[in-house]
Amino acid sequence: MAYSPKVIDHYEHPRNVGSLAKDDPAVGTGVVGAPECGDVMKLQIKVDEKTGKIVDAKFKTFGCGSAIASSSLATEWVKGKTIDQAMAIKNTEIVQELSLPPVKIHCSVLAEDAIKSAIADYQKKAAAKKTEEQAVNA
Amino acid sequence: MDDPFDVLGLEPRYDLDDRAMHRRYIEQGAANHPDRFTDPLDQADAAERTARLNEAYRVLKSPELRAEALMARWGGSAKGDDKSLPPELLMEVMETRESMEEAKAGGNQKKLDEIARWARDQREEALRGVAELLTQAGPMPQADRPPLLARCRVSLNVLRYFDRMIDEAKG
Repeated sequence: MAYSPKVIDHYEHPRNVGSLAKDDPAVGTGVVGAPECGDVMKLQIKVDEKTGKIVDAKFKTFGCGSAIASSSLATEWVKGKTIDQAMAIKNTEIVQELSLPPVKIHCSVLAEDAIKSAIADYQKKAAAKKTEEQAVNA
Repeated sequence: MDDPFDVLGLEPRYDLDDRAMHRRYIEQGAANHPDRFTDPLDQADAAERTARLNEAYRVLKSPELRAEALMARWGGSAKGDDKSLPPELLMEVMETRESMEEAKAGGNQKKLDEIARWARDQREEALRGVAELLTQAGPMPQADRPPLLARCRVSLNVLRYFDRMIDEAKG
């Protein structure tokens, strides 16, 4: 099966590979996997508390070219977006952008799940921080 | 996919008697060999039956595929529908893959072999769990099986992650 030029570009020049500090309260980490193929994907976002915007994103994916390309594209797309805008990213948009064939659609689903899981982690941390502050102020 | 137990005419159970299964495969294969037929249409039918027998035998010989076949037969969830894993497993897989990447970059084959050994042990342990659950579920009435099948799904879901590590260690 031939990869589309955009998949090859992301695979050969992945954007935003790496890690952010997992324990930073401004960082949300999502780790997701596909039991069918054993791919694992980690996607992290860093959120500016004041503006609510995602200011940085990193990923690390162990998987096929399409999984790497999907997560690379996902980090590009979430940067500069608000949490709500990032939440609204659909796997079908990734499929379209990368021209993924039907057998690789699950890779885009994985990337969407990774974004949502990173956001959920950030929100959990933010909520915990808020409760803590309220407890201090009370 | 055809149910492999039906194709080979075997009682659906996890702990199959390997020799009895092999004997059934050979008997059925001989009875359905295309050379036994002269009419081209009969030959084509026989070839199709032979292909189904081969596939069923391949599935039942593999502990993992045999387990998946029983899951499908007993109404357990499919891999794509239920991605449940033991808690923290994904994080552990991620971290292990990262250390493998480091070991690879540093040419540390000893570390890679060590991880591959660990992954093989983990894989075997998961399969032992599958075997235990499905052997237990076999004689149960269908209504009592779901909780065991749900746990079996979790054990089956971990296998591919360890396979990837074992592959990766080989380089």
